[in-house]
Amino acid sequence: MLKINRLHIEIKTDNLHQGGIYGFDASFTDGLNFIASSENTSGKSSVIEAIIYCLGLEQIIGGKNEHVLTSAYKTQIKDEDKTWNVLESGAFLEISNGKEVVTIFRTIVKDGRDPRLVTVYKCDYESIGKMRVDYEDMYLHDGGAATNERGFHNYLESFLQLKLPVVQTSGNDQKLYLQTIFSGLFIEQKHGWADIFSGMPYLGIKDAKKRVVEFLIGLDTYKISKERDKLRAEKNEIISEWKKIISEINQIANMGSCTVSGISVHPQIMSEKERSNIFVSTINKKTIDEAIVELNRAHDFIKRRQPKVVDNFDELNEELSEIEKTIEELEKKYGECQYQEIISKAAVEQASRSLEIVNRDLRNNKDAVKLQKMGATSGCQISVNICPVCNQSIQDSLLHIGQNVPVMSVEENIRHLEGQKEILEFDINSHKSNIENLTVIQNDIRERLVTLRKLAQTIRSDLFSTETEWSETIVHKLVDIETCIRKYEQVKLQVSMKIDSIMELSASWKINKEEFAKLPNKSISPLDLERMGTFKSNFIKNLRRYKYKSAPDFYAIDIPIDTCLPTIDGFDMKFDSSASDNIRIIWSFTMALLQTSIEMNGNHPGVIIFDEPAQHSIVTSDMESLIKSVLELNDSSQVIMGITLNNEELKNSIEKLQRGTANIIEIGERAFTLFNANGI
Amino acid sequence: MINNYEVIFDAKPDAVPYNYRISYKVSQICLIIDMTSWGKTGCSPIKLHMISFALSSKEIMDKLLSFAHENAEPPLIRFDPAVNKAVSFAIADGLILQSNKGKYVLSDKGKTLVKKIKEDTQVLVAEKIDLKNLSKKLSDERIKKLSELWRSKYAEN
Repeated sequence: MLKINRLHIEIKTDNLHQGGIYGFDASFTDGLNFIASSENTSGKSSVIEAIIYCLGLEQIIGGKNEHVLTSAYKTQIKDEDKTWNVLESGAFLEISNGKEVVTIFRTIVKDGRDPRLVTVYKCDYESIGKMRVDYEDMYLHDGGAATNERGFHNYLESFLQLKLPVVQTSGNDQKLYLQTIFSGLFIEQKHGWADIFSGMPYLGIKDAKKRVVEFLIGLDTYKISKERDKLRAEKNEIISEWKKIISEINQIANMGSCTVSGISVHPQIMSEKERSNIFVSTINKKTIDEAIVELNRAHDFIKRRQPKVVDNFDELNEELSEIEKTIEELEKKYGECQYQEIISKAAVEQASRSLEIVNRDLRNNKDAVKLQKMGATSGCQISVNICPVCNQSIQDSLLHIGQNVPVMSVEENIRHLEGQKEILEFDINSHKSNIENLTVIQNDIRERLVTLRKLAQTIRSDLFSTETEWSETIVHKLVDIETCIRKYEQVKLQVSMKIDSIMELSASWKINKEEFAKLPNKSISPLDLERMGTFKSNFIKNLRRYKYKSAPDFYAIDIPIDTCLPTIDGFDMKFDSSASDNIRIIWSFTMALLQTSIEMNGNHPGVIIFDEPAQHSIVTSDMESLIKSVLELNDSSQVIMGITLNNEELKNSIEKLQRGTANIIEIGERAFTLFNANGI
Repeated sequence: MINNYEVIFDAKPDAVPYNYRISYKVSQICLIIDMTSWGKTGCSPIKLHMISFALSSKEIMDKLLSFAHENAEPPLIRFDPAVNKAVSFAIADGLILQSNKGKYVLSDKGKTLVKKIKEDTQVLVAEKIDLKNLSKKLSDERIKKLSELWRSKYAEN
């Protein structure tokens, strides 16, 4: 929340009397504050402008820095019948967020000090200069004023405990700027009364008015879309992590000459049953468990054989010729694999090149569509396929084409290209997976060849050895089988560990899916509907109260959630309202924002400034209704009203207000008076 | 038998390369005039052809850039009749004007179109970079000298 405690303006002049410091000093209270005078030219607006200026929000008034302020701050100040030149000027604003009090100092005219510089004293105004106080210099209106640590608006945001949402702009996403928000709270006199949010500076924020209303009354819509973004990011993370593990599994399997089946490349919710459907199989299409059992059996079988060469000479001879045959077969197969791999690699290369061309064509064609649209909006006839000379329709082509041959539109062309792109991508991927398979097969063949050759060698040496020696072949075979079993066991263990992490991911995938399902699919939560309903009913209640007359039927008034601005029969309310009713709309809307925020726990800072709300032919009784509705707000909000008491009726009604209900700051003939020697 | 039936063949629509789309080429020409010529002097037809052709291929653009910057050998230029046709369309549609020296300058309408193209950061991205690199380096003087050189070299008596 924001509360304005005190404003102290100092204007140093060349009047030598009493030091020549003119100024204004007033304290503000909770609830209603009047800055009142009997004439209209005494500088109420200057005082209100100073508040806005100190908060660095002068873009609401219409510009940056001191340019927007009145001449009393910058050039000359009047005192009775004399005018004095302004030498230096600046203002202190003491504000509070309910817990802490700080004083903001900003110069208006001072040599050697940039008006963009803001000093924040971490104490109340009285303490400045009396004791050692902490202060910090910050800056405004430069890039980063809203986000940088030394940016004043960034400081103000955290001081006011506002968590400004990040919103879409014409460029990057930006924070919803304070200037935009406060244009719905501070209605200054010059053009604040033209329309709702008419003081809002243009900062490139998409749907800025809507975003401000959403923020002030605390709608979730933005929160929900943020939440959706977060979940989407999480989802992508799971997908990429999943893919990483899958490729690790494949790597492990490849190293052991195995393949893994029954596992999806994309994340899915996996049950235990689905887990048991994941198989690791060896190169000859057996599951790894079967393979291990088989190897164990072979191991036992060999062990039972006679260990002496002499005992199985014939057997060895037979085996050797078989092995030699197998080696020959494998070598042939290996050559075939290599040949296929070369073909596939060439195909991938060619397809990649074509894809590059298609991609470039696609990009250029997309450009062509855009350029056509740009031309059409610039009023070019050629962009709508009409000849600028004869006004006949023409084909969109610079080539000589037979007269009756139709030409594809650019959009058709793009569809055509996209089709081609899809085919090429499919082609590339299929060849790539083929290459991968071939590598696995080749690795396996190579390994088998090595073992078989070794085996053949040992058999040969066995055959030529003395008959009574121990068979080397058998020992060799046993060692071989044992290594193979160990390898398979290793693969099995590692894959199962990876599958454990896949199961974990699958669980978080499920949670993510559930969270997604929980989000309201229309992006409007029931609570938001309630908030909008309250906002609308507050707005209409206010309109009735302030005697809005332009609409015959209040039921036709609505605040649709997609714009958050009031309409009547679907049209902007302003067009159907008289000038004074337009003022009532602004009163009602500004008040309804605060009322709704209080009722529904929104983010309104709890302060409103109305400068001269009695515009046009507003009658005193309506002003009384406004004042009354302000007094009904709870104590924690603050309303500052600049008001001219130029008729007796209004004067009486304000004097009638009970003591203590409103703080009346009376300004005499002029707001800025000569300070006495103590600076008061 | 077949004489009793009429067989009608409907032509399938022909695909047209982007480079031969009217609005694409016209917009490209406007962008070239805007980005590579000085103020009101405009862009000569030869220069327009050179740049427009260079934009269609990376290699030629690289050659043209080194010709413009470092006096290297000029690239071969293909004079594409499509460019002439596009220029006619652009003139007819009031996007460009022909000055009395025969050079092309942008009209106000053309300038608004170019402004739109330049503001959109997603369109003609690579082309804009190339044109910016080329910017105003390729003066008509250089092109004129080049054609004079060729003329004296290859002219037959």
